[in-house]
Amino acid sequence: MAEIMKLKKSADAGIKDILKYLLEKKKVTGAFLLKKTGAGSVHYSLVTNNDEMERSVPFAPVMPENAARMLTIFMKQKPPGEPLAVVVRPCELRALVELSKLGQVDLSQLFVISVSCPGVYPIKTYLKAEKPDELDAAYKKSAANGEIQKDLRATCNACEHFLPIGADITVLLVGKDMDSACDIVMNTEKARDYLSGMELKKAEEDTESKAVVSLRKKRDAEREKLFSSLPLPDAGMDGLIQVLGKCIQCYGCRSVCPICYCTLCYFDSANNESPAPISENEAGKRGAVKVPSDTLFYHLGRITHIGISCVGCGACSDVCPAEIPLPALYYRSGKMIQDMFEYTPGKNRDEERPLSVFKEEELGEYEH
Amino acid sequence: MNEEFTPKIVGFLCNWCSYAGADLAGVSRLQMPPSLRTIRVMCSSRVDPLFIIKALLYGADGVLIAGCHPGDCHYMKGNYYARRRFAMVKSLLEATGFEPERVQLSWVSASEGIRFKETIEEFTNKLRKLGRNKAAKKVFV
Amino acid sequence: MSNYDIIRKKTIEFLKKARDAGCFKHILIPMEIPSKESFSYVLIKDESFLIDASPLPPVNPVQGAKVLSSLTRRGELTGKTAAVMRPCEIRAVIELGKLGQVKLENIVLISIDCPGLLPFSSYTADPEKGKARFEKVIGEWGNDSIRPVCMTCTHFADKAGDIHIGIIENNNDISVIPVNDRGKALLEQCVIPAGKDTGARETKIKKETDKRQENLNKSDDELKNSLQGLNNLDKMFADCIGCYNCMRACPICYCRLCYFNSENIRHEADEYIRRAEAKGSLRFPADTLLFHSGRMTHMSLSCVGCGACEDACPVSIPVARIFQFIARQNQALFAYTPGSDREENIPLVVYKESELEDFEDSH
Ligand code: SF4
Ligand code: SF4
Ligand code: SF4
Ligand code: SF4
Ligand code: FES
Repeated sequence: MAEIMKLKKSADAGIKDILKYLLEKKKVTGAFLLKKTGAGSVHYSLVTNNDEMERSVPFAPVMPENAARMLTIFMKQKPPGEPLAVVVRPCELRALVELSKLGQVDLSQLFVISVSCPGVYPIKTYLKAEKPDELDAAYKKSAANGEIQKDLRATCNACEHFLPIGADITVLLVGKDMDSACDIVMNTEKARDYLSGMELKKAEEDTESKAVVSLRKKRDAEREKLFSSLPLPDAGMDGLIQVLGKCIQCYGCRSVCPICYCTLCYFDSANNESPAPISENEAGKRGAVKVPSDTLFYHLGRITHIGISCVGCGACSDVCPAEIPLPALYYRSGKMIQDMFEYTPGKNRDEERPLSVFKEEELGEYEH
Repeated sequence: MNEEFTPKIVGFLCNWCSYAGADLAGVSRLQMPPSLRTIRVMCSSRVDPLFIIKALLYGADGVLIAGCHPGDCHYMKGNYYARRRFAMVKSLLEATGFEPERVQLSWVSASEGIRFKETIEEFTNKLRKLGRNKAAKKVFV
Repeated sequence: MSNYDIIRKKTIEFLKKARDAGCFKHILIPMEIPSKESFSYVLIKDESFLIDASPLPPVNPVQGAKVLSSLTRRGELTGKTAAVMRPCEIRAVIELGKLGQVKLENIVLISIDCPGLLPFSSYTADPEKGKARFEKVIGEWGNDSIRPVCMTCTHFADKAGDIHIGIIENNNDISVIPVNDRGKALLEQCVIPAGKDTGARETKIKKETDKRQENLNKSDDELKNSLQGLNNLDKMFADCIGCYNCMRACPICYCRLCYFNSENIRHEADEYIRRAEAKGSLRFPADTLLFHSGRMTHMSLSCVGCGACEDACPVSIPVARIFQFIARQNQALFAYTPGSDREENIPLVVYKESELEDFEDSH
């Protein structure tokens, strides 16, 4: 049974206290969360000492890297010997679950703290802000009121699963004043066990607060808008060229995507290279051909890999130098594939990814 | 539509069933439209979704994946996985408006020469109605 | 007609004439994409497409050398192809030729005077405005809406190809200048009168070069201070998110499998924990500076300062300015100018028995 507790402090300070406690009591060897770097930026960091914890900013409204991707780098070769606390957003947690199904992270060693998520700003908006205080204030206001905030990532405003699934602790941010005493939900035995020595007061709260319900409704509407913002599927091939024509093939969207799981990307491999006569031949057929071509091939191909597990985090859109509205393409196509398999990525740790299993009697309508 | 237009179909045929079925159709001298370009694969599950997308982008009018009937796969379960992947690609094509009608999954056994012929005929006619794949002429792919 | 259109029209006329005379069969040249928000190189086989070509686009989303390497790395062209590119692109092509990644057989390189490029993201945000701005850039030469690296580029009129198209001080015309014997023979073949460097052109280039050199000195002074020491370098790359867009966009980054994408720099979790414990915390992705300095050791001798890396960086780090600053010093060490001489080897693949004594320990 989930229990709701009140911390004496704000979300930021309260969670820092918890993490410090966990480090001090050696419940975990380290904490993985956002932190101000020495050079004055904000990035994920692996923090092992409580002085450094002071510089952490667990709920800074930005996702410079997707934590699931960072944690894959951290533990793909070999998971840690001791448990680690992580502070991640719900979509990052869902990506972690997907990656664990793919054998790239080990969830058993993670103590997961997540949030009811008001969203994040695009990386550049936040890191390059001229008036960071104003950004912060605007963020806290919309979080408290459970509102859409137009400056946030488009995918955040359209997010379906902003309450974390399967976190040990959920910190309530939506509908809350982030500066006053915060409420946390203890979801698991592990949470109660880890925090058993801390003095926490029970609170009267409801995760499905009015603000959460109203935010969900607004976001559902925004999602519809986002999904219909592209000229797809109606404009067909021309629509795809319209949307993706600007792509410079930097593959940044692939590099930052938590789900892109291939260790050697097909599109970086020799299989994806061809001698000049192939292009000459294509130019002959078409009159002329773009070089390097295969832009659509890359994107459609990438969807065949990530579609089933895309969590709509928006990392890809933030990295795109051509500012292509990628989640409208990836998240939407991904969701259509997910819906077909009645699969919600990151929802159920024990459910296999749809392409790794089958039923003998199914999908008859796809056979001919 | 131009009556003469013969669509180009890239057919991935499973070695153990459909390829043999095609062979049977051939030796039985069944008449078929000259639309098929065959690629023999060891199992329908060998067909990487990327193959399908690449064939379409490079101008194939249709892509056929043909394998053993469910339950008959030489490798026991290959075609069940293939069916899931196929469904995935098809919904991707639906989502992006890339004419999902251009791809087809069929089960044809080694003894079904006639069924093979009919499959090719039907798919060819369907593609004739659809017309040429516009991707074949696009410059900015 | 705008300057932009005049250059476009005249260049296309020349290409058409040369092609008709059999100087080459295909043309690789930028073209506006259907959405009109950007440009892309296209390989043209059917001459009717040439009319839409843009030999001097306002932005350069994919560096030309990258285009040619993706085209020919795995096998050379069968039909003779004219590649129309800016000087920095052709200089990078020549570097990649030395590395065997561009097969120069069957390629006629045609360079064109470059007034500079607009920053990619600002252009795509409002292409109409971008076009107007670029028209001004062509009119004025050295207008400050071009990218910072272009403001400091002294190679903008380098006759880097086999044939060079001069647009500086050419009142409403272009001059087609043969650069080497190959270019000369080609122009003779297609009976196109060879243009040459006029006094007016040379004076203007000299004047512009001096201006750019001044800009360069200024920018160097600024960078010198901000790059002094590891801490400062760390600050320059503070916002780096490790997306490697810069590496992917760089024409010179030649490794087929980047070391920094390889398993060689992935460690076991406990190793990361040890590194965190040594300092109290470890930033992720780790090894940001290792990546940038490692990349520098690979490409700095050949860096042509094209700015592709900077255009691709999603967090606006002045990557090209930083890399050029260091690259130029390394290049000076070997008196090497990348892309200037096709016969000259890249300095790290040759040596002299007695050289570089200053770098040896005197003990
Ligand atoms: S990040 Fe943008 S430009 Fe780069 S490959 Fe992805 S879509 Fe293309
Ligand atoms: S495709 Fe984009 S939105 Fe989907 S998981 Fe990857 S980075 Fe996130
Ligand atoms: S490092 Fe940057 S400026 Fe230098 S060649 Fe590469 S992309 Fe161009
Ligand atoms: S493009 Fe920018 S953010 Fe990405 S790795 Fe390079 S410097 Fe870092
Ligand atoms: S062997 Fe024929 S489908 Fe698997």
